Amino acid sequence: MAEGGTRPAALRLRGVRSGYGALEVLKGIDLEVREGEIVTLIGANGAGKSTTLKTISGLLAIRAGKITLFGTPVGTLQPHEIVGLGLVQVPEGRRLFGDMTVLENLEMGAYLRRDADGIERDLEHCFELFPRLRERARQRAGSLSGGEQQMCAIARALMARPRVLLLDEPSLGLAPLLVQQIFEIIGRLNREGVTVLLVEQNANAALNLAHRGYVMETGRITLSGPADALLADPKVREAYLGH
Amino acid sequence: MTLAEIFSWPHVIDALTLGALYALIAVGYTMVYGIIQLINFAHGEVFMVGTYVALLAVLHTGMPLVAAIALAMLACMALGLLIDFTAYLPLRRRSPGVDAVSIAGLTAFALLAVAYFELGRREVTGLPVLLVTAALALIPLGLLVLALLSMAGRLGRPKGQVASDRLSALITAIGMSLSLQTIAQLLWTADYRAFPASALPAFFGRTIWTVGEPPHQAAILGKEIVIWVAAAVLMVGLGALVSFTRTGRAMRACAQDKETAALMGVNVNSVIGFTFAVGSAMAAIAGVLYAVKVGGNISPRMGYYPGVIAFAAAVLGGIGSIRGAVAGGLVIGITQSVGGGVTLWGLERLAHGLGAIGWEGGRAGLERLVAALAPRISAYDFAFAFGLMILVILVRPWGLFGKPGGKRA
Ligand SMILES: Nc1ncnc2c1ncn2[C@@H]1O[C@H](COP(=O)(O)OP(=O)(O)OP(=O)(O)O)[C@@H](O)[C@H]1O
Ligand SMILES: [Mg+2]
Repeated sequence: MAEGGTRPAALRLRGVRSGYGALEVLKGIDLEVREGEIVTLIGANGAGKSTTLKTISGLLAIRAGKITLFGTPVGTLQPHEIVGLGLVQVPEGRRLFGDMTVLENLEMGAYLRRDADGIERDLEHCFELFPRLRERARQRAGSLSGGEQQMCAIARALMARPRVLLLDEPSLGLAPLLVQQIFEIIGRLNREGVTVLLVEQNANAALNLAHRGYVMETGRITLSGPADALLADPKVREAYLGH
Repeated sequence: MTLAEIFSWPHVIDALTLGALYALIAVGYTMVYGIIQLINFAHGEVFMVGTYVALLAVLHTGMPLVAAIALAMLACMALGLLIDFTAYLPLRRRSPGVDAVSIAGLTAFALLAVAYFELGRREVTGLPVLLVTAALALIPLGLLVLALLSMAGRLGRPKGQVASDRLSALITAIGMSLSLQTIAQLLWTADYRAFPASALPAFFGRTIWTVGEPPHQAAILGKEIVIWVAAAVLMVGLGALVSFTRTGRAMRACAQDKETAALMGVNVNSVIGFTFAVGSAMAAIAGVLYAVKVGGNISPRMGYYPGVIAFAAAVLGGIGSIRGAVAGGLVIGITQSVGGGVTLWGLERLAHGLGAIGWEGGRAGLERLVAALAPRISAYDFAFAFGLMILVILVRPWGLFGKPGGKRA
């Protein structure tokens, strides 16, 4: 796929450190996602991928380094302020509001928006992308199947009109056909102008979709480059692609 | 005594009125618990402060009661926010330093409160009182500074972490409750007071309806109808707020998963503050209406029993559920009104039964017990309310409307 080349950075991390309590998980992360790109972050369990996304979203404080979003420093902002700047995350494990209906979950996604017409249009758009959600709109989100929940979680994030979308393992626990469908939708969203940072276990699918990739090991970026280069890299093939 | 006497109109009316008031207080406990799993022991004191604000407004400005209630609601919203801001927010922004300091501070505060009450009882004046007073004035100031520091990130809090040690929060809440009582006593003395009859609308004391047949006839007074209508309107309004508005959705989202709510753009701490404010406004209304119903009960400790009873109502109904607060309030109100009568009735039946099977000694003993209990059983009305709460917790720990293992807003 085409390289992002000279486009300006949407999201940039420089020397970012963070963690939980006394445990430092991220030990200086440098990462960049340019406008219009799909970038994937792959790595083994416990490498710190989710921690990276939580830190970007402001759920964890950065202890050192700098995060900028479209050039604005966001490292010290609260999570809701970061959402207000157009960066939205689909968290690991879907994290739907199980007691609310599907529709209410989607409305939660649009929490910061006041444009009723735009919200209505985006709702329609989400129902086009995921027809299943239209059928289930009045149903408790907790009663959806795993795949439907993942669709709902992605749709919920789209309702915020993200400029940058972070996805944490959207394919986890889904049947192959559904994984393919989810990846197609991510590609489609990207063509519609959304910049994507995709965390994945399914490195093969992720690298086939993405423009560029980063490989993470125990809190450090150990490898990065164009997706096809990573796909061809013997180390990546051995560690993450099972060859 | 017959069951018809026990469930006579005066008792039923009393039960409904108490139940409505308990529901108004309980909703403050239940909403705050639903969202941060904290039992806000200071809620009874918010109720108390609201009553004083309305009383003082009426006495000093002569404003109509409705305006005084509105003022009390505003004051209590501010107080609710202040309590959250100074006592609980620093704990949510968990950083070990703040935790330790605020626990130490509030414990000292609580000790001072106890000391002050002791001094007050022995009528010691002069230096000791002055010292205690000065200390009392300094500590909230210190806490405020701490809270501001932690908010400014100067104490190294992990951003956005909302979990907190439950025990710290509980101790803080109890400390807050004692502190507010003490401050109220300093400001307003421990004397019992009441709304002057001239300040209350004339129809409060007027009989609107008479129900039942003599000799169990009862008058429904204007103030009772006001309490019922106010409680019904407020509870329906609150239910609608939580179910159908954007803010209500945010409250439910925070109750279920604060981290994800934040990822949706919800300012979690504002939503929690809003919850405190709404619950506190309800407590202000309840406090004034309670004082109107009871009469002559306004004192710094007036929030204690209604607070604890309403908390029992919240637990009974299923903590976290607004419908549960209403149901729990009514059930507790009924229990409190008729619990004594039903107990006596049961003992009488039992004595009767013992007589019927020929055990005259048992019958005579029980009848003596009934005769001894009858004049003073009404003093144990709270015991019946708590007894019921304990029973419900044993059988159905999540309460009438709660969900097993769940929490709701
Ligand atoms: N809430 C937490 N408290 C303490 N430590 C945590 C917490 N969450 C994660 N960790 C630790 O941080 C490290 C990185 O976890 P993280 O969730 O970022 O990994 P990951 O790369 O997303 O893994 P996975 O592929 O399994 O999702 C792990 O060692 C984990 O034990
Ligand atoms: Mg992860």
